[in-house]
Amino acid sequence: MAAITRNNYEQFFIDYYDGNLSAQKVAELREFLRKNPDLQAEFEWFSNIKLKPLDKTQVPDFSFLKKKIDQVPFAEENADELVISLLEGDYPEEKRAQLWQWIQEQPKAFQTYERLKKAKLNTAVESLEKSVFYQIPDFENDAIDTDNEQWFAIAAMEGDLSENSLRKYHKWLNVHVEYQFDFLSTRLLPDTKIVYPRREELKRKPAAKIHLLTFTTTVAASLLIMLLVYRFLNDQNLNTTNNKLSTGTAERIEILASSKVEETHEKQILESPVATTVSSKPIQKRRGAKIATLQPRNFTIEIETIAEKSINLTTLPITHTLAVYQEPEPQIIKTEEGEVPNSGFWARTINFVSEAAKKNFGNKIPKDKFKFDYKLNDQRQIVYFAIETPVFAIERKK
Amino acid sequence: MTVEEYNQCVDAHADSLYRFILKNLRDREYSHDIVQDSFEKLWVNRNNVDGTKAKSYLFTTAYHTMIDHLRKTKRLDNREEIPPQAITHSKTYSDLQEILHEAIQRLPETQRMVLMLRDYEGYSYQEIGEITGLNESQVKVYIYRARIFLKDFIGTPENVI
Repeated sequence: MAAITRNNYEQFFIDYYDGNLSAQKVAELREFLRKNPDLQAEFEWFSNIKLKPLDKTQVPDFSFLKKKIDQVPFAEENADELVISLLEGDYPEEKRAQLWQWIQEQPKAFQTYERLKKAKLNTAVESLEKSVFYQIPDFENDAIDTDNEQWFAIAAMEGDLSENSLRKYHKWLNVHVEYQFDFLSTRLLPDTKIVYPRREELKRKPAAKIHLLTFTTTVAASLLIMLLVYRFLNDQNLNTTNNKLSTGTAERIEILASSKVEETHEKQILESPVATTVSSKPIQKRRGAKIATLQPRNFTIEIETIAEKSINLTTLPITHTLAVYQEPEPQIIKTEEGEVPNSGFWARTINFVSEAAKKNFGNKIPKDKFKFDYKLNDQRQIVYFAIETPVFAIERKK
Repeated sequence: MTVEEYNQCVDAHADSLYRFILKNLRDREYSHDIVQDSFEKLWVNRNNVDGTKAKSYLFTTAYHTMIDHLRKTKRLDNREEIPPQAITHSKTYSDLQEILHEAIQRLPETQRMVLMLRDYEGYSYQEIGEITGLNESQVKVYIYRARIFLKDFIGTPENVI
């Protein structure tokens, strides 16, 4: 046994008063108390809580607390307990029929019954059901008496009796005329005055037949609408972008350069200064509408819009040389503002486009927004070029 | 089941279904709802329901919806169930069917329902069993007990002038 310390002294106090300590431990305890006088009062207090065994005659009878199964209320939460007691034969016999009636009317209880009865021997259950639950006589074999005559009467009315049983019942009834009762009088007749007032609302209409032509037309129309919506939304997006860059009214325009330069005239064209003018036509409100044409002899630049909204494209009185479009060599561009030094075709083209942009878009297009692309053939001739800005684009293929 | 067959079902069974529910619940609005709900279910499952079983399908659906409703109502309505015998009759009736219709309201709900299915719709014990989920013997016992109760009810002098 452990030594007595200030951490465990309580159990030794209790053992002392219960007489469970050895003489040695008692001496040890007294020594402990002498060294710890502050615990003396607590030691004495423990003497008051010593338990004495109860006299058996003083123990109250709690048997009344025991639950009797027939006192368990017929409730869903007690279904299992009640069903088990019935199947086990624990339920008082005189109340079984009442319990069985309740079980039949409670789906949960009946499910429990069906489940549990599988665990019992079939013969036991059948016997139980026959004797207690159903209370329907065996019409073929049972004798008719005043206790079961009503069952026979109902069975006769319902057509549940065999010919033999029916004969037996009529024979009995002839003797016991006072029991004659026509159970047909208990048959309910439908109350035909009650009709469902919303019957028509319940009905369904046949689905409309769709002809192939109608179907095709509908699909085509749907696709067309979708296309228009897509274009509208697409243009809306472009408008938003371009409005940030242009003066406000301008939308995206696309300048397409298409050239019909003949090979034989190329040199001549190259060295011929050409005055070009962009006419002041209002932009057509449709995508790809040609709004201006530049015709330096055999060279044509078409300016087109892809925007829905028009811009007021004023005249571009640009006079410059387009002759060097083939070679990116330094040239001089003549404009109304004078000669502009040019390092080559691209610079001039850029200059041309920039001039157009300045005129039409208030010089809003920064240089870094111009994107260029070109391709050279084996003779270092340009066969393709393209310029793209946030507002318009120019492209030429040879 | 075609649309036409479904609409024929509406014509053939809407009234009887409504009558069956109304007599049990005695709540017009809720009875409307159950009829509507039952037909809606029939429509949704029309491809799985044989036309000849449509009536049974409707009554089965309505029966279970009613049972659920009655259980909920009972839970909300915490009154103690009063056995039919304990009810004193203050009214008198001159017409036998009126007496019977009064009497069936005093039957336990399962007895009332199976008896209605038997008498109103002419269902066999087996069919009633399929609708209610009871076995044939149970159905039979319910019907027999209900008839005995009705006999006792109409046989009581104070119920008849």
